[in-house]
Amino acid sequence: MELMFDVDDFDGRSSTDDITTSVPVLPPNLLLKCLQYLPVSSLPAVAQACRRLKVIVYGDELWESKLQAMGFGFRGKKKSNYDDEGEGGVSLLDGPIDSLPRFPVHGANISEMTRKRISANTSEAIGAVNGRMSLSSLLEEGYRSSVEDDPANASSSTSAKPRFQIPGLPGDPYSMIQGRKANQGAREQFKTIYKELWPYYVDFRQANKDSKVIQEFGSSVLDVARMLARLLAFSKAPLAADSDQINENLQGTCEYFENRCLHLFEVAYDSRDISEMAKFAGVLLDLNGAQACIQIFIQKNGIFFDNNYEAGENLKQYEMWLSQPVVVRENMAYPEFTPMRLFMEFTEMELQKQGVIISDVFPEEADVLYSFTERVFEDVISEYCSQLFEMCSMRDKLLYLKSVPTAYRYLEHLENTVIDMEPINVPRYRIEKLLARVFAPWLERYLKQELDWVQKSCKDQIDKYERQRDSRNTEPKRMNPRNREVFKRNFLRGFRNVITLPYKISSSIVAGVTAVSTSASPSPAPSITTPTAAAAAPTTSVSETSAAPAPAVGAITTPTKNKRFSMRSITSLSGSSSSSSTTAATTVTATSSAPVTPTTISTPAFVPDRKSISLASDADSVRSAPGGVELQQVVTAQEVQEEMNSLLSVELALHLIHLDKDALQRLAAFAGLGGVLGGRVAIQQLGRYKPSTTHGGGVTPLMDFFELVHVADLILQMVQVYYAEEMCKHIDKMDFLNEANKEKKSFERMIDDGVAAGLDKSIEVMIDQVAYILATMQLPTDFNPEEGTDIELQPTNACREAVTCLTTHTKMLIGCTDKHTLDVFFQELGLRLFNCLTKHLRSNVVSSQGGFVLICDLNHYYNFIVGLKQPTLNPNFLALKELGNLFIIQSPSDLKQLIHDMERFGGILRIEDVFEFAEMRSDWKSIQRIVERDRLECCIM
Amino acid sequence: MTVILVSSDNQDFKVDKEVAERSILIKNMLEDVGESDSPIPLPNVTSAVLTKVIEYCEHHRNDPVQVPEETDDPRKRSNDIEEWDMKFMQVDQEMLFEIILAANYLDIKPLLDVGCKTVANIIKGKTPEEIRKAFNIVNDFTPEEEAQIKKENEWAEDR
Repeated sequence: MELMFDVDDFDGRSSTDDITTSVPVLPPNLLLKCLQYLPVSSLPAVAQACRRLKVIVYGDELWESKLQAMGFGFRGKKKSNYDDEGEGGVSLLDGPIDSLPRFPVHGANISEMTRKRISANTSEAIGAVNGRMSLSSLLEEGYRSSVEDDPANASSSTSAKPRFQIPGLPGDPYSMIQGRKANQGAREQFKTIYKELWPYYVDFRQANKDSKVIQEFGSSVLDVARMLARLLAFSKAPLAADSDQINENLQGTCEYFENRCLHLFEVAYDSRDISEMAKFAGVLLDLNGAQACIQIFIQKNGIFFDNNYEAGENLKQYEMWLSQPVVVRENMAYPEFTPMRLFMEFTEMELQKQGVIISDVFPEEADVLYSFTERVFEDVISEYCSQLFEMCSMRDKLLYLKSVPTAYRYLEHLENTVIDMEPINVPRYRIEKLLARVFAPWLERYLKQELDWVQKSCKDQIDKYERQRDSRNTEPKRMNPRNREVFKRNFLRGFRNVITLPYKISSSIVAGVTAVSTSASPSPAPSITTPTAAAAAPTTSVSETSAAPAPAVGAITTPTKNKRFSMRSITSLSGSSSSSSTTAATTVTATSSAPVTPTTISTPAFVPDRKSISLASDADSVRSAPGGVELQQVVTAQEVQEEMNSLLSVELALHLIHLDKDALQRLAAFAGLGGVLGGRVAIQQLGRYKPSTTHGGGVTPLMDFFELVHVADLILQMVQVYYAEEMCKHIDKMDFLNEANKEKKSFERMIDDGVAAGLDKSIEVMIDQVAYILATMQLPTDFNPEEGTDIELQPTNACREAVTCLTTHTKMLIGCTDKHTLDVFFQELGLRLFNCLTKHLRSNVVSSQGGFVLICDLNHYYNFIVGLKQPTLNPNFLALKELGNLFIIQSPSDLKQLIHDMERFGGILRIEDVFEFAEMRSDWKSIQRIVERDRLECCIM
Repeated sequence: MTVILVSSDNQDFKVDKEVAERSILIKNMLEDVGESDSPIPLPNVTSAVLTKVIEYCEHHRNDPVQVPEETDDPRKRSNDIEEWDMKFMQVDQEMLFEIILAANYLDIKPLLDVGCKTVANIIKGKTPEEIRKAFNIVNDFTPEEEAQIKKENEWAEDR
């Protein structure tokens, strides 16, 4: 068995078959792989063994792999003289140079030569296919593939490297030398480095602390460090048979050296000697990247073990605030976490201070500032905040909810400080990532809590309000119809003003919607006093909502700096209470037990009641508002109290919206961090109004219902304003899939449904009422007066009453909902009224004299219907009007004519119907036969 | 699941799929072909070598699959061979080379590495003459040439 190296191949002779057959030989790439495992010291012997091996040993690829192991490719940068190697040393430390230089591989010559040889050795190539490969044929394969794979490369000396190459072929001396000279081949480069470093390296065979390195470079620590660093890198390539032992010793020396330097660094740190620190930091950096040194530098900072800032301080402040009497507390701002602010300011200062030191001590590429900041965030701030949050959540939920965004705002400010820091800083994207990482775990919990809180407080509000409603079932009062529109406009304007104030300022606003004076002025209704007193209750609760989280960070950054965020509810007494007191409002004295039955309209009571809602804002902040909102936005309006208590409360809605806005403000801080978060909370919010709206209609007296419709409309508009002003900042209006949008839609739909159902009910109730009025007030003699009495040619009392009732109600409705709904409503109302009237009329007996009265009545109804401006209804009532003629015609034949005159009744009434009406005639019995006969004839016809 | 491998001298080897897939060549092949019972011909590997290779793969069947980047670690050492592998590689030189060639062909990186390391260990510390003797190499240098090479490489010798 023999390993055949087909040496003759190089001389261009074809290999002799007797040598190359039957022996497996390794292709050059596998031989190279084997040689790569050899220590450098074994290679000379290999080169001397035979030509083929020499080619591989002299080839650059082998050395290239060694250079790579040492952490650098060759660049021609490594010059022989270590003196000018300062940069070189650093480059060693920077890690492997990723792109290996491409050295032109005498490509043209090789390819040319190869081509010749390929044609010469075809027979061999065929032999190789048979599985018996000679080294020469394999080499051939290698060349061929390299040429074929990369023809462009082969023809010109380019930068692309062939898959493998064997430079230094004897037949090609010229290109070889040229290549070396131009590029300093890998072997040459390795040789240079090796020659220089080997003496020092081999010196470590005898392990001792005063090795040659220390002896020769002891005068300069920096030189020693660089030398050691280079030796460490150098040792990565297999160098000698016993290189493991040597490396161990080298390692030991490095560690010893490092420890010394670290110690000196620490000493310098303790004595605040910046220049010494910088010196040793530089040394360690050159040695091994100075990670240990950076750790020491960071850990020795007092902020990590010796700061006096306790998270608990914030709670003390809160307790103090809590111990104040309620009155005082309400006028004071909610605690602002001053201790936390101090802590953050301290951290900020420390960071700035350290930034200066770091820039002096460490070079920028060591990235020490970021490491330091990272530690501060992860250790100090993280601990402080989680402690704080933990305590707050245990103490008080609202406090917790406030603490998180506040902390976040502080941190944001801190972040900006770090970004803008001089002389060095941390790039924004890195610190943002850091902040996000630190904050993420808290954020999730916070969001959940926030949501819970908003839901819960909404529920509480609604519960509370419902309790209040239950406890007070007293007379309803309502808006002065005349001023209703004005009120709504004013109210909405005020609302919009409040809500559109810029974020920073509005958060300081007291959106105290305080209902104040209820001037129970001289009133004939004795029962009023109770509700008015109680009415203050729900409204005062509103003022609590304005406890907006004080944006303390915002205070530092914005010009609103020294503003006191005080909550001040401005009480305004309406002086003009008497002005409206003359307006009479019809009150349905509905007791809770009898809401369904239409009760008598009685006791028109004067209910002069005036309540002022003041949307007052802090004078300071309003002045600074760009819009120049009036100094004191006071919307005074006629307020509905009882009606609200029984059904819906504008205040409640307002309160809810404020609550939501509040939460949204807190969330706004995170908007940048977590995307659209506000939306989700807000949605839940909107859904909360639901319980209150569906009460509508029938069960309550009519008037109340109309008020309800108004209020619902108002709320709808409020929601709309709120949506437009606040939500749209966070969500995309057009995004119909967005949950908030969907929720809003469904809320609107729900209100619409409620209104529709309510309207339906109200029609029913109204018609019932009309029927009742007619039934009770229509005297039998109205249409069948006794002979001889004078007839007044005007509508009967019952008719007048019914129409009055209808008009008052319909008028109230105008303007409260959209035209379309109203049209539908009126049409339905008209139709039912028509049915109701026909039914009513049939129960009466009409004499020819009473016929005139009836015509008067019918005209009256007709006029009412025309007043509704619903053209579709007119024919019905026109037909009804024509019916009156039935009763004033004397002659039966004429009557017959009339009955059959279908055009007269416009197709609304059938002959049968008309006959039924005709039966109402007092003299029907006498004329029946004539008319009936005709009727039968008609039928036959 | 088993796979049938056919050596160059037409012998069938029934091997667990898992074992066969130590060879990246076979693994890729199986992935390309999909479920198939047809035997896989290996025309470059004799049954003697294939037996050896399968033995190696059986022993290393549970090794973690190497990440290509890792295997190209340039800090190559010839003296970190596992004990089992060392024993496994105690074969005559012809077989050693055959194994290396087969490992190269079948793309079994760890086996190829072990083979090359073994070759390196044979060479290590030997004089040129000893190397020639170990591998039956004919000295094709003239004495002058040899002296020249020796001189050229003096720098690398461990003096």
